[in-house]
Amino acid sequence: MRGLQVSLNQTQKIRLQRALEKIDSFSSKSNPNASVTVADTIPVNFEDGVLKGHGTSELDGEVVATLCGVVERVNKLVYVRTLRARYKPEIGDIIVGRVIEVAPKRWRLEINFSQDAVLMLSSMNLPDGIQRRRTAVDELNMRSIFEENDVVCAEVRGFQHDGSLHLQARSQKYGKLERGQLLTVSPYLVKRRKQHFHHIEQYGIDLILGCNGFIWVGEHVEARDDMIVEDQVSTSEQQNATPNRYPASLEEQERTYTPLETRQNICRTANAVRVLSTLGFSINVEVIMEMVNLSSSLNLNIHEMLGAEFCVLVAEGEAERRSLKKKKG
Amino acid sequence: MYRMCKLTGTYVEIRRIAFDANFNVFGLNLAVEELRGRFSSGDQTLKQINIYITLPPNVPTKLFHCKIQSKHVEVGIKGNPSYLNTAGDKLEEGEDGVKSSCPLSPRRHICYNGRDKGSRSRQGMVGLSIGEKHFIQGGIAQDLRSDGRKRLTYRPISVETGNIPQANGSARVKIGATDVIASVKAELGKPSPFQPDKGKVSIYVDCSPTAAPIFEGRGGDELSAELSSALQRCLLGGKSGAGAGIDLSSLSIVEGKICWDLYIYGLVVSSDGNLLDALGAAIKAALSNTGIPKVHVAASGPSDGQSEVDVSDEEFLQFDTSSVPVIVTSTKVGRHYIVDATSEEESQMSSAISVSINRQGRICGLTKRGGAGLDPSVILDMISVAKHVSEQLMNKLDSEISAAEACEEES
Repeated sequence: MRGLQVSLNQTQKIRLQRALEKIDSFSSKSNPNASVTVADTIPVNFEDGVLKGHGTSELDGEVVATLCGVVERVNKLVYVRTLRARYKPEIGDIIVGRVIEVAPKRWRLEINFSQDAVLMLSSMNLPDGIQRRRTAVDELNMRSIFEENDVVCAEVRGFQHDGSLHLQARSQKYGKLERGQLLTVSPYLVKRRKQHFHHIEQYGIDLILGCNGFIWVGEHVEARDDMIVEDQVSTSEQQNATPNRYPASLEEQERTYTPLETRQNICRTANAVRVLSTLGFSINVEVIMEMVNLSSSLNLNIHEMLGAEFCVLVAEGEAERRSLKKKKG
Repeated sequence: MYRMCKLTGTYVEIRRIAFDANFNVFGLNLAVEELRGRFSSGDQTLKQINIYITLPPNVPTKLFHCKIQSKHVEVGIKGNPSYLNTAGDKLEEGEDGVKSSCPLSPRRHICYNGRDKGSRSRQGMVGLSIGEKHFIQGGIAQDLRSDGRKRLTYRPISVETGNIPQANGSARVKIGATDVIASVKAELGKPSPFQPDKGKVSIYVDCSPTAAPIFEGRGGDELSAELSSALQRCLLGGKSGAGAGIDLSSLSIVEGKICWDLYIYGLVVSSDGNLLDALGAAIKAALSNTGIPKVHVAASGPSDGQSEVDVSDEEFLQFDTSSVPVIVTSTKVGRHYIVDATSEEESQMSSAISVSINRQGRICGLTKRGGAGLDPSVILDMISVAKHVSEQLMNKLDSEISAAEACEEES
């Protein structure tokens, strides 16, 4: 199992094996010829001309796969799509990225893609919320919005001519993410859905599943409406409220730490994502919540969620779920 | 009012920086209260250091004096004794005396790789945002780290032995995502004239570029040297051979003439913090897996030292590892100590102490890393924490090693 860091004893290995076999048996066998490995011949009808796409090459008059993956055909184009591919962005994807550079009028974000994504200053709401032209002063104050190494949530707006991404973060739900942890999983585990922002009320946490494989789990932060805040800023100035600056002294820092209850939920959710990622199962909210409930019902220590026993339990649970789905559908 | 002093350079060597977050006494008396606690941050990237210093009010920036050279840092206000001066040895009055004690590589305290690669490495050391750092520190303060561990809990440890059949002994240890391999090779050699009845052991560590992109080329040399010397200190004891965790007299064949030379190589395959503990565990496992060939010495050798030695291929002596110590690193973050830090947590550390403790609970070696100074009572506290943790770690390692050896015998 790729990346499985836990050592399983004999019984656990057997159980895991059985669960994975069960899951395999449920996967659709609609087109057994569809998956190929390197140097497999791709069955192609030579009468209509065929366009050889990515992952194929011509060898002795036959079309041969150069990658391991699934064969896709679109009209005359035949190509091989790998399963564990790099993140392939589409317009409208929600992604989570990390700022690596503050450049003139833009931020560059790293998003687990072959190139850095660009977030223009004009695609970002100003702190005062007024819609206006960005001036030179705004440009000088870019660091007060996002600094290097900040974690940012944004949406893909489009592609530039050289293939790099343009992002926008104009809505209230996008922006800087604090008070939580960022997890990295393979991008293919996060499927595109209607909702990527999840606010789990019963635990008080925010879960953002970025399509690029960056998943943010953190304390819930109310999306502020900047227009209303502006009126309150003048009243609260005496309280010296700069909510984005972390207080320097140790005692004040201790007061602003995340409460223990929320922190436990955050850690449980993060561990659930980690286990799913090592097992290679798709990550979505329902599965994560089920795992969190399972672990709390078993009264497992949060740390034990990363152990061998829970791993095997998750695999068995997933096999169960797929068998139920199969029976229904 | 602040003045920014920017130093860009490819190679910076600064010896013994002696500041911490609480500056106590400054030259100007009326500036004492204002400057206390005002020194905010120094952040650093691979290319440059930015130091932000807030001057006391009413001091024009023209009077600010800052000199940064490769071996000397001086900060102060012109016309007054300098506030921070690493050149002089005298302690300023009231200063904590927090000159960092004995960094492992005594010359360099902060050292950057000379090459400037231009583009940032993609999967390299990612920085952490302030929010994430705050979250990590909060977790440590509340005894619930990012993966749910308590402060003194280790990640799951897995041990395999016998990975490298050509070596006399080998082992691979994984602690969480940290993965290291250790191998032991025994060769015949001459003992040193100062200790004719003891064999020789040398330890080398190599950081593979697969662990992190910064290890590519010469980038990993610094860390490798640091780890090698720390392991030597922890396992081999002092120059006289005293305090060695490994019993060197068992390696002697003919006193004064022939002995076994053990070469222990460590390779860091994947790095996620706590390399020293993992390497110590791997070396312990590799030593317990080591078989030293039996040697027959021909009795009728001439007295000028040419003895005939017959190294047998069949019979092996298992190396006695009951006294090999185990290394526990305790890292101080904020006010609390954690054990087995991940690389994210290590980026937040102020200092770390690695203690090697043997089965009897005695300390065989001690290493301190990190830029902040420590009060001696804090050091004693951290040592006792490490000692407490070491018992469980020793038992866990022993059971894992015997399980691994049993597994190896089956296959």
